Amino acid sequence: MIKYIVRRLIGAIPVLIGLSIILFAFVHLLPGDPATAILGQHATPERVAKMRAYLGLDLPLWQQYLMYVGGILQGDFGSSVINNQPLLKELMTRFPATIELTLGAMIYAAGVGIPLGRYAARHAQGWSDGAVTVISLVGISIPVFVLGLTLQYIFAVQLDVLPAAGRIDPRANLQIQSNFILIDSLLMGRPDLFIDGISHLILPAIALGSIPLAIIARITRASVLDVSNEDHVRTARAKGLTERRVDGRHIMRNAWLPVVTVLGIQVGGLLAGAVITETVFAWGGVGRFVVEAINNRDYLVVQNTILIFALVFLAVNLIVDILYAFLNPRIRYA
Amino acid sequence: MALLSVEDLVVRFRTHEGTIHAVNGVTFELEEGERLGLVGESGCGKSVTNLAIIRLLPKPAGRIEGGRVLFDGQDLTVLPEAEVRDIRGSDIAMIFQDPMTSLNPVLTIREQMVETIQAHRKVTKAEAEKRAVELLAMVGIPKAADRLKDYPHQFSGGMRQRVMIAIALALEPKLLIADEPTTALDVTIQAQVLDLLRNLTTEQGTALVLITHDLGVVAGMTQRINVMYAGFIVETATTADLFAHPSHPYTIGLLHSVPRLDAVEGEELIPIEGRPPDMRRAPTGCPFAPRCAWRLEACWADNPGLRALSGEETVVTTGERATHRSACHNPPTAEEAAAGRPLRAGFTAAPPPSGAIDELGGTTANIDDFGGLVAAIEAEESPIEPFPSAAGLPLPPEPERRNDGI
Amino acid sequence: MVRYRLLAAGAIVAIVAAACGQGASPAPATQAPASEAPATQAPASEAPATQAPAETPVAGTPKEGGTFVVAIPGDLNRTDPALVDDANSTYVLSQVLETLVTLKPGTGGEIVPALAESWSISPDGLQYTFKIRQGVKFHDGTDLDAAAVKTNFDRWMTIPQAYVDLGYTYYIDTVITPAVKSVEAPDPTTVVVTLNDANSAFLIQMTLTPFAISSPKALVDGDASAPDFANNKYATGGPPAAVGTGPFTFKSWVPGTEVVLVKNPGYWNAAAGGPYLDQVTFKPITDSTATLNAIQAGEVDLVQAISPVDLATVQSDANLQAIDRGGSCNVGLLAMQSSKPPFDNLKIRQAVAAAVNRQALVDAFFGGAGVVPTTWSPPGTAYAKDVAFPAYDPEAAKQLIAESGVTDLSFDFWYPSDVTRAYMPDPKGEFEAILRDLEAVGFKPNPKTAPWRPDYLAAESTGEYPMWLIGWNCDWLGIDNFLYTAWFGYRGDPYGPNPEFSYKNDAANQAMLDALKATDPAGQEAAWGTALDLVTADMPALPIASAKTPGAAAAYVKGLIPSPTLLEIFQGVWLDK
Repeated sequence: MIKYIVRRLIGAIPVLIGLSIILFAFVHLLPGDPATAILGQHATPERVAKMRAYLGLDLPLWQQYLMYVGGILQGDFGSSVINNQPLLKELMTRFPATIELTLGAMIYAAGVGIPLGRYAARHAQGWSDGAVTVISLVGISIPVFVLGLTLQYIFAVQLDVLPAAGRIDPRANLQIQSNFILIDSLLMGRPDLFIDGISHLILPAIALGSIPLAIIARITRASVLDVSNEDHVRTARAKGLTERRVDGRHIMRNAWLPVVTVLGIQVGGLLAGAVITETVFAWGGVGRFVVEAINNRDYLVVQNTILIFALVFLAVNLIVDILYAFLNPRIRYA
Repeated sequence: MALLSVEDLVVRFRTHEGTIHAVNGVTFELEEGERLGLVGESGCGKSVTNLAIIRLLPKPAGRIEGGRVLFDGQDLTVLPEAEVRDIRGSDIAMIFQDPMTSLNPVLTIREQMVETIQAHRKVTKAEAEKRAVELLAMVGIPKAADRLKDYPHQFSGGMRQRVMIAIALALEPKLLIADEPTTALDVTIQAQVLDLLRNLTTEQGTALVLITHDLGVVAGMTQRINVMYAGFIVETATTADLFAHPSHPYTIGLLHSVPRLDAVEGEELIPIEGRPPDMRRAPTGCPFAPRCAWRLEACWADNPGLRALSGEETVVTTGERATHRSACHNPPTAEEAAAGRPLRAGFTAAPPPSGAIDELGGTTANIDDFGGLVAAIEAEESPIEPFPSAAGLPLPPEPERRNDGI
Repeated sequence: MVRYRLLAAGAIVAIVAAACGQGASPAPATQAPASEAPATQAPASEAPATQAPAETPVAGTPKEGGTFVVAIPGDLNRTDPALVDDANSTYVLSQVLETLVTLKPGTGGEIVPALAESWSISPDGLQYTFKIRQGVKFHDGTDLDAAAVKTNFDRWMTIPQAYVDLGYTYYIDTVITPAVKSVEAPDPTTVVVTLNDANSAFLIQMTLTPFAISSPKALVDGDASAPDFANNKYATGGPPAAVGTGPFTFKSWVPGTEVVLVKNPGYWNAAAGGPYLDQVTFKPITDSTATLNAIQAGEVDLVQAISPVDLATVQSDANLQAIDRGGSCNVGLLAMQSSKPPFDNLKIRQAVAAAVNRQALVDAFFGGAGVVPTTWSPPGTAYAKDVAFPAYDPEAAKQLIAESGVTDLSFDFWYPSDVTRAYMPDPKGEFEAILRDLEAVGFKPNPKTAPWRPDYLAAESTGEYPMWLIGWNCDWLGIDNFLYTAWFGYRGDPYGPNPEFSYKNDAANQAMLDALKATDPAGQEAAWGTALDLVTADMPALPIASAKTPGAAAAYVKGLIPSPTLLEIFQGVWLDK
């Protein structure tokens, strides 16, 4: 098992190198000069020269790349041009918000998508299965920001049952400690704020989680149907096991495998979707940070935040693969 | 009273493409401890018959549409699901064809054995494990205690089938249904597994229904044989009787299409022409007529029932003295049976009546077109090609297909 | 968020529209007439206004308490006013820190006392003497005095080079560094600022939030001049951070999530009423539709800037009130390159001015949030008198073309892609409308386009385009910032016309310099009037539109005084619920 993990980690290295080159090229091949872009219309030649020096743009490309990679290897992901704070520190204050959002979205997507997929599989070809298929197709085809704004309009503006934006009622005076609002509220012994935090989480989680939900539901349905047709399921029934055990232990245990893989891949989609969701719902997470960095032409931040997103994505997929191996003895003992 | 009594069983599959007439009124009986072979080509309904007995037909398409299945005097077709479940695995156990896929790949052997025992007996996990070790040892798994923690992929095919047998016999069932238990195994392993199966069922007094397409497999294993074709039993006899005096043209065809150890030197193999019928059509006439060299005009219109060859009034349905019966309007003579073709001078098979010209046209393709459902049913049967190629001979020329597009 | 000068970056019109600088110059047309010079600017004399700036009276009895939630289109950038230059940061920090002089609430340029209770200007315009208000305490309990003010000025004048290189010091670079020679504090209530050159814009510039006074103790404790900015706590959220004298004190900042201010119970100017609110929470919401949803759902009490297209929705909602700030701080131009034919001909430039139907353009593209300029700066800019732009008259335009004798009426006409600006919400649409107007009188423009950044900006700023669309978002609301700084003042080495327009008129340039050197309102007004007349006579460009910056508030929000420069202090705000 350890061998397997080490092999996977080594396998990630070329991916990261390739990614760092692409991101580096992305910034350096963009038309225009980042220094000019950052300084804007008032950029004087001296100011541009200083900014170029500050950004290291006056060095040869290969040297810039080596410095960039060297910095990253030493854990230096650079600084934001907005406040010159180390990027990692900036991200640390924002990641909790994104983690709460993406976890919420994932819980929603998996918590609804998997039962929905199982239900559809059990009623395969029936009208309810068709309904699930239609729902998931709709879910996949609605852009996150349209869904987000629509949810806001319906549930916050028209029905007034859920908050439209933010992470906590600003009138509630929650002293934010770790930026894990849900944890903070509990630590403070304020279950009312915890509930408020959850109510703020619902709409963004639905907006962000709907596409993954649709995908997960479809994959679950296909996987359960697939496994249900396998011989060993018939064996399980022939052994006189209850339907509950056949379904829970024999079908799902196998059906999980593709679902788990998709869950891992969806994390990437969630991170991408978080950029939009956080903008729509005024959610102060990493996604919003990237948007602001783009607006500020803070290229280094954009570049390295994406790199960190990729690291997170790779890490999640490594975890998923380990989980997969754990679920699938054929891989574990291979 | 017989242990198992299948009476006029009718099974149909309702699919988007139409109704499949899988089993069309099958009747047979089985005494306690008796060993019966159920023989036929892929798609003849032998597996479906057995799935119907323990009510494991694929849902929602497969349905028992007629008849009764009496087991120990209880009609399984009307019993509540919970009671049928109690019978499955304990009183009636099944072994399936492919040991590679019949065990759950992600669960340990321990779990798969223990859950079976615990599903039917109130025993602790430790007791169940102890029993599992005994069972594994019984089926000849070396170091049984150590292997419990292993997963199916860590066993060879033969070993896996032994594990399947151990699971099936865990609760000392009254009836074991083995569906092509050795088809997926190497020939040498086949013999070992068959021996094991025979010895254990004999020791435990377990009745056995052995489903196979291979007459060679049933020869040494069973006391009686039912030959099935297109959802009908077309011939039934004691094993010895059947091999000695095959009566139905299909049985004769089967015997002539596989090489036999006792075959006379130079005897040629005669493939059965054509393919099994399209099961989507409600059967009229003898289902084998389109492929039969002995067919009469009546065969096209009237499906003959099973009739005792000797014309006896009393029919014995089980045991050593079971009556040899066959469903044929024009039974071949013993000489013809030996030759594998009609020998009567000037005899030609009756041509199909007008309007039924496509009967000879194959239906394998049609059945394939039913998609996953039928594929699943088919898969329970032999993965081996129809007999001609199995015998190493070139396939007969493809019959002319007149209805394109299927 | 976006800096003023970076406004090009903002894709959301609302953000851009909101980003007009704080700052000076008379109120919009609806308020104090531009021609009335504020009495407080009487030169070389003690300013009469020693009283505290008074809030405009509000109907009803203010209620104490409550949390006021304000949506701003982008997050705070830094917590040191001296190191910010964007509208979001200044909007927040102006509640906490105060300047020596400020604008009368609701006006764009009426200067009133704040931390300086009075001031005087020497006759040569080089010395500004501020009388510092006594009895004012910073939020950390230390006293405001002349030394504290000097400490702030000194810090601005010696701001670490690293901060300059990072681009954080735009206002220090443009206002302090080139202009301020020295600052003295001869006694605890007197601060004397000496300038290098007379500059009549200086006092108005001192109303800009970047020149708010911080507690010297906090500047030290927060390491506000740390050579490495990363160690600067004062500007990065503290503590301590943003320690001033304003009606609200800085409590916390969770980047991307919220900025929380709480009431300053010991506010020195409580006599003027307020502060009433217990807490002010700023929430950055970038998406304009999400912003609208949030205020309609009652989750925010004030939206600093709404998209002009949402104005009708707000006006029709009984639970909301629209915030109409009157004018704005931007101007869009149809620019002509005076060095390139046919625009080297005055009559052709005048013909263009007469050919374009500006009112139709504003009606079509600004959604009720635009005005047709009557001068070279937004409505209500101090000293910017109305000028006589040619009226829309296609026949007159044809006549002018005929008189010009120019026969080749073809030229390249450029518009930018991938951009919207407050003053140019739909570049392509506006371009097409102008194109039709020009063709209607006989011009033969060739449509051309380029990406805004860098191609378009690089080419237009060096004068490569014969005709193009451009505009200006102000640094502060002053005629100097538009007419002189942005467009037609001479510059460079060798000193001469701005190559962007190649507009050469020595007399106009001299009039602008005279206006900046003038120390009395009459002199300034006269000089700017001369400059405006000269420039208008030459028609080097045609001002097309100014965009308004509407906001929205819940109906129960009382006491908010809308400001054309977004200098809206919440001291008098209370919640009627």
